[in-house]
Amino acid sequence: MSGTSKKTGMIVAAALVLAGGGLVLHLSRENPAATAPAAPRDNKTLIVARPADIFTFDAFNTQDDRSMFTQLTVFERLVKLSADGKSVEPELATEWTVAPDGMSATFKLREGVKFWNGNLLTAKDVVFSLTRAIDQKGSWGFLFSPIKVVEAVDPQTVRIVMSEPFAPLLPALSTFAASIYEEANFVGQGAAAGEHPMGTGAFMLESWNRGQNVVMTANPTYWQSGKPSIGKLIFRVVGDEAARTLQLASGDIQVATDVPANQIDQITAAGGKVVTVPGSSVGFVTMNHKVKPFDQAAVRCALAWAVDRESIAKSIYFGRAHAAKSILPTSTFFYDSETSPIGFDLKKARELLASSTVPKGFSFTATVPSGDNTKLSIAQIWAAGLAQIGVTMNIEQVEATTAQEMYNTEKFTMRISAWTNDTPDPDQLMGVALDYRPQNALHSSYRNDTALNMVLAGRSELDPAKRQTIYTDLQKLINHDCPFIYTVEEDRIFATSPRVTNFTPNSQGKYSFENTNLN
Amino acid sequence: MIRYTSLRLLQTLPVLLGVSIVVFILVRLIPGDPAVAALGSRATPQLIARVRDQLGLDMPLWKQYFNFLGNALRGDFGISFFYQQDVWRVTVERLPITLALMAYAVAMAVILAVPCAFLSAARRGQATDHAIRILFTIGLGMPVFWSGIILAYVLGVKLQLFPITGRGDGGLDTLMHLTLPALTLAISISPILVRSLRSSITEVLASDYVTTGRAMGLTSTTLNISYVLRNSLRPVVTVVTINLGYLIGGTVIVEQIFSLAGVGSLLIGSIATRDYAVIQLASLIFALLVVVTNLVGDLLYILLDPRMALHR
Repeated sequence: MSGTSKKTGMIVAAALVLAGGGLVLHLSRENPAATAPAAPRDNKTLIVARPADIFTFDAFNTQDDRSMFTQLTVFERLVKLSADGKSVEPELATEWTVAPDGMSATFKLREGVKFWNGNLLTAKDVVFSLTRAIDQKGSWGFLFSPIKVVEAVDPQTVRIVMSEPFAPLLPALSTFAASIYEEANFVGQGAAAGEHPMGTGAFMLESWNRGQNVVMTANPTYWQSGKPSIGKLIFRVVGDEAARTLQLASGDIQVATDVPANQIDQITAAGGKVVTVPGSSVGFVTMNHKVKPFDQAAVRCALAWAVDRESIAKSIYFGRAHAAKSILPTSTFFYDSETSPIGFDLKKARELLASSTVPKGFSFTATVPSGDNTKLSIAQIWAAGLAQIGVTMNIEQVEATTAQEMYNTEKFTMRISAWTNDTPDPDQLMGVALDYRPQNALHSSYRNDTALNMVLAGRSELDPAKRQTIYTDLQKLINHDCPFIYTVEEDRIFATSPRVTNFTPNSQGKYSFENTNLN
Repeated sequence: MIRYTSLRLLQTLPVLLGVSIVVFILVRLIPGDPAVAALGSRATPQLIARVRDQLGLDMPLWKQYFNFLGNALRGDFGISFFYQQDVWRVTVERLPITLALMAYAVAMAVILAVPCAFLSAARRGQATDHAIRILFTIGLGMPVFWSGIILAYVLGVKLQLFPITGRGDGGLDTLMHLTLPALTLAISISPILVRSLRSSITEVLASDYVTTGRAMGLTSTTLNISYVLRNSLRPVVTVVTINLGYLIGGTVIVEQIFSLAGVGSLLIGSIATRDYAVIQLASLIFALLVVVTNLVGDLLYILLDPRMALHR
C-alpha cells in the first residue's frame, strides 16, 4: 500500500511540476502582445511608467490626464503652446489671421504634412476634427463654445467662424481637445475609432494592450525632419508609486510620472533626475452650498482662513508646494497674486465665523478619496486648524468612483481635491467654476450673476489689458466670497533616468516626446 | 473516487450560481457605475444617460441578471466596457500568469516551511526553535506590499539577482520574473504553514509508532520522511486550501507591485472602472479556483492517508 501511495504521490508531484512548467511555457505563447519587452531592447526605446492606463484616443469623451497626454503625443493641433507657456506657436498651421472684429480666424495649413498611413493632411480633416471638438455634446465642447462653424476655404486653408469675439481661441486650439486626425480613418473605424487613431504626430500607435501598455513607434514621415530621435515609446502601467521608483532605479523604465514628493531624495540618491513643473496644480475644495451653513460667505471664508497652507506645503509636499493665492495656477494668463489672497489667520477666521449664524462653530463631513494619503493629510492639518475656531471636520474616506458619484449627484458636503488647467487661458477654470449653467458651478450650487457676467466679458474681450482687469477683479471676488477654497499649489513631479534629455513638460504638466533624447 | 469527484464538481454549480448573484448585486449596490467612472467630473446627465443606455444599465436589475446568466450559460460573458473586448478573452488570457504565480508561491512556501518546521519541532524549546518561530512571526507581521517593495529593492535593484517587473518572455525567463512576486507571497503564507506543521510534527514525533520505528533500528531519514513527514502533511494541505482566499488577496497586491498583468490586478482595476462584466467573470474564476483547490485538497488527503477514502 505504501509503495502504491509513493508512486501515486510521485505521479501527482510530477503532474504538478509539469503543469506548472507547462503553465510557465504557455505564458510565452499566450497573448504575445501582452509580453511587451520588460526592458528596452535597444537604447532608443523609452519606457514611461504611469499609474493607470488610458481610456481612449478620442478627445470627445476623454476625462483622464493619461488619455489627454497620450493624445498630445500621437496627434498634433493647429497651434501649440510655446516652451515658456506664455504664447502659442505654429504647429499644423503655419500662419493665421484673426478678423478685426474678432468674429473669425483663418488658418493656413502646413504643406506636405502626412498622416502615418501616408495620406496628406487637408483642410477637410481639420474641419472634421474641429467640428467634433466644438460639439457641445462632447466633454470639451465648452472650451470652444463661441465657435459656430469650422469651414474649409481651400484644401490648405481653414476658417473658424464665431458667434462673438473669442479671446481664448488660440490657447483653446492648442489643447488635446483640438487634436487633428484623419477623417477617412475615423469614419472607417466606426465605433472603434477611439482605439485606432490616425494622426500626424511624432509617434504612431503600434499596439494598445489594455491595462498594460501603449506601444508607439517613431513616425517615419514626420514633418519635422530628424525627429523624433527615440525609435519606440512605451507608456507602461505601473500602479504602485514605489514600484515606479524602483523600476527607474533598476533601469526598467526611463521616465516615471506622478512622483510623490517624499520619493525625490531616494530618486536622486539612486542617480535619477527629477523634473518638476512648478505651480501646475492647485489644491481645491468644493463645498455644497445647498448644505447649511455653507450658503454663507462668512462661514466659507472662515474655513478658508483656517487652512495652514505653509504647514501643508512643508510637511506634506516637502517644500515642493507653496501656499496658493488664487484658484488659478500661477502659470495661467492674467494670474494676479495681489488680490488680497486668503492666508492662515485664525483670528480673522473666528471673526468671520462670529458674524455668521454659527458663531460657536458647527460640524460637518469632508470627503477624501480613499488611498489618497496626500489629500487625507491636508484634511487632517486643516481639521486641526478648524478645531481651534470651534469647527469639527469629520473626514470620510470614500472609494474614488463612489466619491465621484457623490460629487456628480451633489450628495456631498465638502470635497477635497486638486485641479489643473488644460489651457493657460483663465477662461477654462473661471468658466467651469463660476458659470453655473452647465455644471452648477462644479456642483457647488454657487450662483453669482456678477461673476458669470465677468466670465462672459473676459471670454469676448480681445484687449489683453482689459482682460487683465476682469480676471484680477474675478480673483478678488473669489477671495471675498469664497465660493471655493484653495489650499496649496503643488509642483507636478516627474523622474527620469540620467540618459534622458529634453524631456520638458509644459506649464500645464503635459508632455510629448518629439524633442526627447535617450543617450 | 471518480463518482466522488464528479459529485463534488456538481456541487460547484450552486456555489458558482450563488457567487454570481452576490457579485452581480454587490457591484451594482456600490454608488457609481461605468458611466460615472468613465466620464468623471465632466459627466453631464445626458452623457451618463447615453452610456447607461448603451450598456443596458437602465434595465431592471433582475432582467440584467437573467440576460447575464443566459448569455453566460452559452459561454458569452459579454463585452468589457473598459477594454472593449470579449470579457472571456480579457480575463482568461491573464489567468496563466496568476495561476503560475500562485503555484510558484505555494511551492516556495512549502519548500521554506517543511525543513524549518521539521527543525523547529525536532529541536523544540531550543534556540533554533525559538529563532525559527520568531523569524516566521516577523514574516507574518509584514504586509505584502511592504515586503514586496523591500524584496524588489534589495534583490532586484541593489543585488540585481531577479527582474522586478513584467512577466518575461516565457520559460526560465518567466520563472525568474515570477521569483520575487512568488517569494513575497510565500513569506506571507509560510508562517501559518510552519506553525501548523511544527505542532503536527511534534505530535507525530511523540507517537508510539515513531518510538517503535526508532526501536526497530530505522534510520532517521527513513523514519522522518516515510513516517513523520507523511503523517504530518495533512494539516499543510488544509492550511494551503483554507488560505487560498488570502493568497488571492496577496496576488492582487503583488501583481500591482511587480507590474504583472494577472487576473488580480485586472479585478482591482475593473472595480475602479466599474467594469461589471470583468468583475463578474474574474470573481467567478476565483470562486471556481477556491472550490477546485478544496476538492484537490480533499483528494490529496486520500493520497496521504488512504483510510480517508473509506469515509467517502
